[in-house]
Amino acid sequence: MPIHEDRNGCALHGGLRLLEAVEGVVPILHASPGCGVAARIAGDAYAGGLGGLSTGAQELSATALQEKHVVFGGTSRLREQIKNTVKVQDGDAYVVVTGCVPEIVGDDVPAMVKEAREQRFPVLGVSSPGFKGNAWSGAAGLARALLEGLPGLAPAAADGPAPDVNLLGVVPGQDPTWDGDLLELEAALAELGLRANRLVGIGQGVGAWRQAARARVSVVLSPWGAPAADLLAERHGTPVVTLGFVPVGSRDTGLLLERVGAALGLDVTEIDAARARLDARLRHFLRRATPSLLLGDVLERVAVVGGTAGAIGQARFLAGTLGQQVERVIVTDEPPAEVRAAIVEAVQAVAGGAAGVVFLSSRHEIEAELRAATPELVLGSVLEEPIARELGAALVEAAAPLRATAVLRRSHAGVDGALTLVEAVLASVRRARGEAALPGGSQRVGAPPIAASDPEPQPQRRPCTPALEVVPNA
Amino acid sequence: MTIAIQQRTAPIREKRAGDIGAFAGAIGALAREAEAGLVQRVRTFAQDRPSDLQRALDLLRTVEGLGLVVHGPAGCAATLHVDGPTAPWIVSGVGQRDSIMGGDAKLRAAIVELHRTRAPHAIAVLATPVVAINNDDLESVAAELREELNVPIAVVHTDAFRSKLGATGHDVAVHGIVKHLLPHRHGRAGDHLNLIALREGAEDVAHLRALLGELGLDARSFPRHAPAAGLGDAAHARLSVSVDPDEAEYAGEALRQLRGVPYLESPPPVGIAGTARWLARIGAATGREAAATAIADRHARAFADVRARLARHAGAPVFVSLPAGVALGVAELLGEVGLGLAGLALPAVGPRHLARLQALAAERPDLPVLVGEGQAFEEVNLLRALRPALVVTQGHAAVHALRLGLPVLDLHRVPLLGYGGVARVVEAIARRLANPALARFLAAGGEGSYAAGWLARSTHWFIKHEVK
Repeated sequence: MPIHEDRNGCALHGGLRLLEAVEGVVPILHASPGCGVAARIAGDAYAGGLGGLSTGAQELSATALQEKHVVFGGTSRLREQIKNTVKVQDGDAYVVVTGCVPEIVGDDVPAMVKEAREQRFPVLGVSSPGFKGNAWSGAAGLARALLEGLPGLAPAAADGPAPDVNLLGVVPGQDPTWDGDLLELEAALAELGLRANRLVGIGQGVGAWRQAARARVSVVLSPWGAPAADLLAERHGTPVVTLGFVPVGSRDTGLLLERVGAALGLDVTEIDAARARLDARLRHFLRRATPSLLLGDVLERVAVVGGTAGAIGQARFLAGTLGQQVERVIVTDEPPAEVRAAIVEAVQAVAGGAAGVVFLSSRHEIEAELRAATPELVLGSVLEEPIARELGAALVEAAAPLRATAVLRRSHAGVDGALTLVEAVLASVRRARGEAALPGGSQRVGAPPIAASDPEPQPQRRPCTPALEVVPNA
Repeated sequence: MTIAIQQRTAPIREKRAGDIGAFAGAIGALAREAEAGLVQRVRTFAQDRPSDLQRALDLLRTVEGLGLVVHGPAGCAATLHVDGPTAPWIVSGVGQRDSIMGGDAKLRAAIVELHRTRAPHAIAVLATPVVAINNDDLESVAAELREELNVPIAVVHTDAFRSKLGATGHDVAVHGIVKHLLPHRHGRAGDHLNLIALREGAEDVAHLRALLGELGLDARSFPRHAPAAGLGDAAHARLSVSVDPDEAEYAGEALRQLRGVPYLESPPPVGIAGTARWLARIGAATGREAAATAIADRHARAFADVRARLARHAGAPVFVSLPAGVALGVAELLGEVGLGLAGLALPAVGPRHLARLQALAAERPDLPVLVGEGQAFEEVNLLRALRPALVVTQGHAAVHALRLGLPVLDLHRVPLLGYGGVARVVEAIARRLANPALARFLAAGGEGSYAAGWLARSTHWFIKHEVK
C-alpha cells in the first residue's frame, strides 16, 4: 500500500542509526550512493535538526556502488572498502550493512566479512536492505545481529562489572527522545541500586553489547526490543520483562521498578520506597502547574500519534496522571500483528475502553482519523501540524519527524521527562491560544468556532479511569 | 550538445559535460590536466554522497503544485523530510516481494492515491535503484494514468548508480519536466525571462529577480521555485538566463533547442564584479546595456568601504567548499573584501571551468584543490594541513571542520548571489571570524575517529585512475 509522507523510513536507515548510536562502531555501508545521506537527513529531521541536503556531514564509509557493480557485482568493491576503512577510521568494530542493490545483485558479503576476520579485523556483516521493512524493524534486526556477533569479536569478561538490566526497544532516531529517555530510565533503575545497560547513546560502546549477555534481566520497551531480548533469553537464559512502552511519569516508572524488582526478587519494601520517592518528586513539581491545570491550560481531549514506545507511555501519563481524556492513540510504527492487542490493552487499561487505538502510518489516513476524533490537543509529529491547525488544536511535537522542537538531551520518560512533557503541553496550549487571539485566528483553541449567542459549551467528558496524581497530597 | 528528448533520460554529467568527481592536488596541475582532457578517477575508499535521486527530489519538491511519487522502498523518499518547501508526496513502498516480482501495481496505486487525495496540478514519478534494476515499466504506467486521470505525469529516471555525480539528478529531473510537462510554444514569445535555477535558495532567487526587475525585466524562476501551473510559461519566455551555468545548461539548452527560447550563459552572479558581469551580459542581450551599467555602478558604490568591515581580518585565509562555478566566484569575492583563499573543495569540475582555473592557477599554482562530493575524510586531511581562518560551505557539510576548531560559514540560509548576497556574506564572515567560540569548544573534544595513519598521508592517497 502506498504511504503518504512516510515517517518510518526503511530497514537500512534504522540499522544505520542504531550503529551510529554505538560508540566505537564504524558502519561500512554497502549500497548505492545516497542511502546513507538519506538516512542522515531523515534522522536529523526526526530529531528536529534543520539542515539542508547534506553533502558531507555523514562521514559514512560507503562503497557507493556504480553501474558496473550492479552489472558485474560489487563484492570486490566491498573488499576494497573494508580494507581501506580500517586504515582511515579507528574503531572497535566495523559493521558492514547492506542496502537493496547488493541484496538484489547477490553480492557475497559473508565471504568478504570472513576474509576480513581472517585478517584479524573486527568486522561483522548484517543484511539490512531497505525493502525488508521499516526503520524500526531494521533497528530491531540489527540489534539482534550485534548481540549475536559482537561477543565473537572479543570475550565479554574483559569488560568490567556485569550490568543488571538491559534496556531494549528504544530506537535511536525513530524515537526522537531516545537518548534522554534511556538516561532517565537508567536514573530510575538506580533508585533500586540497579545498573542499567542502555546499549546506545552517550558512553555506550561495543563493551555494552558484549556485556548484555551478563545482565540479570532484559526489559523490552517496545516490540522492537523483542528480537534482541529473545536472543539473550535463548542463548544466555536472560529473563525478559516486557513493559512494551517507555514509562512516562511516576506511576509507570514505578511499574517498571516493580516488574524489574519482581523479576530479580528484590525486597518489596525497597521497591515501594522507590516508587514513593518518584511520586513525591513528580508531585513536587506538578504542584506548580496546578493553577494552569485548573485554569484549563491542559486541554482535555487529547490524541497521541507516534511510535509504540512513545505513544503508549504518553497516553497513559496524560490519562492516568493528568486526567485528560485520550480520544485516540494512533500508533505509527507498524508493530507486528501479534502484539497489537497488547498495545490496545495497555492504553485502555489506563485511558478507558473508549480510548480508540488504531494502527496507521500514512499521513492522509492519520489526518482522517484525527478529523474524526476532533481532539483539542495533539501529541504527534510535525506531519500533524496542518490537521491540528485545521482542527484548532494545540500541537506538541513528541514524535518524529520534528520541526519546531530540537532534541538534544530532551526526554519524555520517567519523572523528569514527564515534567518536560507537561512543560511542552503548557507552552503549546498557551502559544496556540495566543495565535488564536490574533486577528484571523480561530476564536478558541481546542474547539470549533463558537457563535456569540451559543450557550457556554460543556466539556464532553466520558467515563475513564480517574486521575491519580493531579490532586497534590498534603 | 544536442538534447535528445526522445531518449528515456538525460546523459550523465561525466559524458555530457566531461565533469570529474575525484581529484586532489594543486590547481596548477588541475588546470594543466583540464587543458589536455580531464581524467576520470575513482576512490578506493569513499564516504557516502548524495545521488541523482536526492538532487532530483531536492529540486522537484520546490515546484509548487507538483505531486511527487517515489517508486521504491520507503527510505528512498526520506530526504523529503528535510526542512524547506515540500510538495505533497507519496512513496509506493516497494517490498521484498515487489523487488522480485515487479512493483508496477504499487506504482499505479500510489499515483492514483496521490491524485485522489491531493489533486496536484501535475505529478512527477521518480525511479529508485531497486525499480531501475528490476526494470519496472514506469513509462507505461504513467502513460495509462495520464489519460485515465487527466493529469500530466512526468517520469524521472533516477537510479543512484549510473553517475558518480549527484548533480546528474538535476538534468534527469529537467529531462522529465521538459519531456512531459512543458507544452510546445504557441504564438509569439512573451516579455519575461526564464531565470534557470536548479539548486539556489528562494532568497537568492528573489534577490536576482529583484535585480533584474531594476533592469525592467520580469524574470521567472525555472524550474526551481516555479509553480507547476506556470511551468509552461518557460516555453514562451523571450530569453533564458543561467544562475549557475554548471547546473542550468541542460535546462537552458532544452528550452533553446526544443522550444526556441534563446539561452544566455554567464558565470554565477557572485561578488561585486561577478554580479556586474552577469548583469551586463543580460543587459546586452536585452538592449539595456546602459541601464545595466548604471545599476551595477550604483550598487558598487554602496560597497565602496566593504573592505573596512573586514579590515581586522585582512588577508585571513578562507577555505571554500562549494559547487565549482560558485566557489570560483566566491574566490573572487574574497579578494574584493580583502580576504585570502586557502584552498578549494569542489563536488565536480569540468572543461567549462578551464579558463577560470587557469586564471587562478596563474596567480597561485600551488593552491590546493579537492574534487569530490561528501568526502569529509579528505577535507579533514587537507584542512589539518592548511589551518584556514574560516571554512565557507553550504548545507551542514562541515561539522568535521568545526571539530578541527575551524569556524564555518554555512550558506544554507545565507544568500550569496547578487549584491544582496555580498552584503549578507560579508556580514556573516565578520561575525564568524569575530567569535569562533563554538569551533574552539568542539575542537577541545578531539578531532574525531580518523586514524593517525590516514591523517599523515597525502590527501590524494585513495584517488586512483579508473580502470575500464
